[in-house]
Amino acid sequence: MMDIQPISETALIIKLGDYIDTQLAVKIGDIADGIRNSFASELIEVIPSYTTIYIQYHPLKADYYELKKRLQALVDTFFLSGDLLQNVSKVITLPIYYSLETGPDLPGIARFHECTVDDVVHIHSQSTYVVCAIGFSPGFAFLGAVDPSIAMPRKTEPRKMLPAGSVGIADRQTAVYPSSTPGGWQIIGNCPISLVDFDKTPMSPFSVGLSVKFQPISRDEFFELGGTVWSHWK
Amino acid sequence: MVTLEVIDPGMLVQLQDLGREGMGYQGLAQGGPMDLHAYCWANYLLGNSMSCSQLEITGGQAKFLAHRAVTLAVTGADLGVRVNNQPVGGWKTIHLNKGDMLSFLFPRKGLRVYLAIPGGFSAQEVFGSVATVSRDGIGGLGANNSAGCLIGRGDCLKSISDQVFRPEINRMVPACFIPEYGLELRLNLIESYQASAFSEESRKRFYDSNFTLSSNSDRMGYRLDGAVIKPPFSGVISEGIALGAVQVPENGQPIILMRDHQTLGGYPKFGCVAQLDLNKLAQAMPGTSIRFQLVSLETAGKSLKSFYAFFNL
Repeated sequence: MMDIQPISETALIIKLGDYIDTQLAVKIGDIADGIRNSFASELIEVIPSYTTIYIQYHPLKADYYELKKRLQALVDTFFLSGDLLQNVSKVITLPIYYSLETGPDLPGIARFHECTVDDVVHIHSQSTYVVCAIGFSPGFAFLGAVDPSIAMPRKTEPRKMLPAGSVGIADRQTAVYPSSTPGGWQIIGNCPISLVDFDKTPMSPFSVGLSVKFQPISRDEFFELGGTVWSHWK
Repeated sequence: MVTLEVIDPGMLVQLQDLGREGMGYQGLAQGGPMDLHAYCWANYLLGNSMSCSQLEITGGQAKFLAHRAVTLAVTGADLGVRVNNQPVGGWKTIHLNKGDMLSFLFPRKGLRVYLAIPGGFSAQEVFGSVATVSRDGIGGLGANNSAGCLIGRGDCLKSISDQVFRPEINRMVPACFIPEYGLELRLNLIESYQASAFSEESRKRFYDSNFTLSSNSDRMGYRLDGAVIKPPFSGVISEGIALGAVQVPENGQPIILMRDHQTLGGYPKFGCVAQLDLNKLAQAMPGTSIRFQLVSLETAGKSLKSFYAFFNL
């Protein structure tokens, strides 16, 4: 499906699906890249997310109806020749120290699913995830999809602060908090690698459609990579 | 060169330019002036490019000491602009001598003042902009500054240009372009997003009600109290959010998303407030009475285009 609708005097949205699906996220990431490459300064923002691509344009440099036609053609071409594009899916691997000292919600998830903490870690680190959206805070990537056997709803009361690098689960999504923020996800570990840097371009390794794997590491490796243990968990 | 020293930042002073564009896909808010109209006039009065950074002074009570002679343009709210304690009025250029004290009183009408100098203030650009988005810890004088990325007491503001004293520039904004920041606002709304999913009753209530601007409003979102607008569903799959989007969370109290809005959101949205109307909204005090009226995309687009063309945005 494809539907393009105006949002404001300077924005439109392309809808490409009705439900969350990691395969769709990969396509949306590719189409968003295609749009960035095919248009110049008339587009100000191209923001892909789960099932949509939001576009903000310059009101004097672009006209909604003309843009709509060009975008429609671009998306049609993508779907017609999708297989020919040979998009090699990019994968990044992030080291994660899964432990009670960095993942205080591990026992809760294990209890919820009547399994062991080791099972939770094993299942979480076995899957390959796809970045479905980036938002909430700079560089925060929503990754799908968590295996149903370790999925768990958000905490009823969000924590007032989480250390940067915290790895969380919320329903069937997982994510690494790139910076220290409040958050309500179930925390199971920590990634010692910095995932957001305003002095670098790109500022984050994530982009929508990218595949992400998690590699469990030991406590020693965690410290060697610059990780620190936070002692203020509640 | 140091031009102005912050003696008292008052409630809130931020450095702003046109905003950080093109980083939304990484989750960065754009920021930028809450009242783009007043901001543009301040740069226009000095013959600046529109991207020259300015101070956005919210809520008044701020004080600055001139470290050298400087020409300013001050636009926006009526915050009682004073030089050495003498009222000087706004929406015009002002010349300060070295040692002069520029101060602002409590707001009488409006909420935000824009202060421009020739060529703008000097600060480290991050992704092409110095715009402050305090939630993201980005912009302004930098996160290691005394007040984080906000402008704080004792900060010395440097100019980019060496020629900031321009006695030959004496301009004021024609009265017909100076808005009246009143206690009642009518906002033009472009219906979009999930508008068609709202019930006929919710629609009618949305346009027939007088809302009140909540004091729980900031650069991210303006909350409205009053009529409860029942959303058609509790959430939607998170999607890109436009400036001015009117989102309706489960409690039925609409939130209008302003310059520091998050990039993605999962609440049902009724549409977007026309961008030029956001400038007046940005100056509204809590308690201001707000009504919505439907506007077509074409009409709103035409007005915005003339604004962009006039200021060469």
